[in-house]
Amino acid sequence: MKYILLLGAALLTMQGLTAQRKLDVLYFKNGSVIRGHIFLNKEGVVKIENRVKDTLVFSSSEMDSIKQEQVYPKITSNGFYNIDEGGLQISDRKGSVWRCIVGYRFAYQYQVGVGIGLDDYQARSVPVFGDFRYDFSKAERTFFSYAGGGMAFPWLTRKQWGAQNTKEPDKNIAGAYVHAGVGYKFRWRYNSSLHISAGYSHAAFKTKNELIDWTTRQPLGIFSTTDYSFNRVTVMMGLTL
Amino acid sequence: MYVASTRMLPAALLAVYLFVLSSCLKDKCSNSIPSKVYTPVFTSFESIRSAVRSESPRDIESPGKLYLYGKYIYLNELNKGIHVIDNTNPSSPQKIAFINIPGNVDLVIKDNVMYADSYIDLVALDVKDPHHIHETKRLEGVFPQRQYELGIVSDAGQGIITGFNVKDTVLTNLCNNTNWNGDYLYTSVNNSVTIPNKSLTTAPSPTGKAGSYARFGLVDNTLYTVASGGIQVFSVQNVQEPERKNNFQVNAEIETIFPANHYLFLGTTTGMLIYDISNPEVPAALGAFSHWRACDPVVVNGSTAYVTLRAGSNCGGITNELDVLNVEDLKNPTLLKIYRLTSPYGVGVDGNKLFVCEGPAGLNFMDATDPMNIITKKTITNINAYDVIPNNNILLVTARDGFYQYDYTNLSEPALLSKIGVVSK
Repeated sequence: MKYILLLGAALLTMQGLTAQRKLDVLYFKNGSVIRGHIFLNKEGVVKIENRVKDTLVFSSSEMDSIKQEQVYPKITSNGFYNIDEGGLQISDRKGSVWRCIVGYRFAYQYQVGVGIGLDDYQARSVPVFGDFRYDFSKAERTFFSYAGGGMAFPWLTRKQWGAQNTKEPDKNIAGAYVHAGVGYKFRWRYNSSLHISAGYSHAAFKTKNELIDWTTRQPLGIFSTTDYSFNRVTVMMGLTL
Repeated sequence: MYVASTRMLPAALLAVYLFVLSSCLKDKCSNSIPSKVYTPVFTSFESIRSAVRSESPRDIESPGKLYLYGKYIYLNELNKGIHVIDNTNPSSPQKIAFINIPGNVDLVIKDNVMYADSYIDLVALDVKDPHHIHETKRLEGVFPQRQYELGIVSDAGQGIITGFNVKDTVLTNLCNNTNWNGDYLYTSVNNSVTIPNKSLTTAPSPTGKAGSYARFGLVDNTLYTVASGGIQVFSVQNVQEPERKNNFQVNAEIETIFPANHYLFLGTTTGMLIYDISNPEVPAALGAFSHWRACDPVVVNGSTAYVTLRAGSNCGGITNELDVLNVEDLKNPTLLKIYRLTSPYGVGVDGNKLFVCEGPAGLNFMDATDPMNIITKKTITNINAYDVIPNNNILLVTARDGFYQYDYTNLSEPALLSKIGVVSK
């Protein structure tokens, strides 16, 4: 429950940090239109700073109306991107996960990339994966979905392999890594954005320890196997550049 | 209000989604160990007891105890019987017969009468003619510890466990299961045992009265055998009809017996014990020498005892060494010197010549003229030796792949005389 509350708090924080920007728009009786930020509107005098930082002064009598309009970040349709994200993984146990993804965005909303991460759960591993993301709109704030898959390479700590065996594994065998979920993105400038997401991640891999003949102390050529299979809820926050 | 609810919507949706998802997911972690299931095979007592007889010679498959008597070598075939080998010419030993004794592990011979164990019984056999042996006496049930195999007790109704049906399996447990020992699992449903594959080889069998792995010791008219928790004493004054006497307790796990003069040297997992057998049926504790937990065959030559300690064995040892002891004062044996070894098994001594088997590491021929400065004259490495009997410059060696004989007249250049190979089946 506390993680759900943390998720909500993080979302609200991101919304605050990336508050939607608006521009003041002056419509003149002579047909001119000027956009900027009004910093004084008093006693029939309007002072406005335009986007090139000029200060302009007008009389209210010259204007037809004053309105506000939303400013949307400029998104390019194509280009490279980098996502760095981290978060929590929760199932029977808790752990953390960090992912770094690089890829290419095309048609504004589609992103395809490859990534590497550190999955620090009951047994630590390094996932290497392909990643696909889809933004549901080009708006400043939008839901998105993601999915990916690849391999998880076991990289156990001493404490983790010590819980199963008296020595470090003789073989580490990578297994499947899959993640998928949905998130919410806050664009703030051009193609940069913050996001929060929640989804599912699966990691499976094995470690093997060679059995030793207890009389001769020689390796027997056969192995005991520890099979790991983790299915977790993953809550992530990240940054896209 | 509209703006606030709009802003909260993504958070609310994600929260609901997260809550639903988290209740469905589980982790799995398990350990799997290749193992074997042993299901006992029973043989009736009647069948076992009626099976003792002479047969034609057969291949050696699992050599065990070695015993030299007259011109014959008696080589135990573990749990099967005894190969009789005519060693008139050590360069060309000949298998001439096989004495079928189910459950046999050890033997001694006195006046052409062999005393051999057969599972829980002691049998006396007239072996004057190896081709026509006959049973003179059987003492039933004197070795009750032999009714247990792998922790499974024999069923009196079905007989004794004489073998196991073995099936491959995989033992699996959950990770971090504190109740898991990973070594042994008994299933009462079919009276079977599952054991992880910790060893592809069996431990070496007890070997030879004159070999250091002896578990039978014969002194004059008394036979001493290693029993559970002590020594079982038999009188063999009437050679053909041994008589069970007392069982004297020893507070140690006895591995081997080595009689010398009127003393018994017992090799135990925690040290060497010396008993005075001036009164043969009532041995009296005399002295002791303690060491780290290990299997320790012992041989004695005059006032010097040689004890080998081996690590990593079923005795739980952690050290590999040869201990040389002064046993002149039998009440207070003292350590003279420790020699580090690789993997010592059986040991033999003939005067100043010492022979130490080192399993896969080979066989050492050593000059022990000065116990404080024992010199290895020669190490033969292409042999997996585990017990020896030195006899008049002929060294009889039991190894994994067969039975060897070496001429050790020149310790530095022992000459291989013969080998009878083991047939793997």
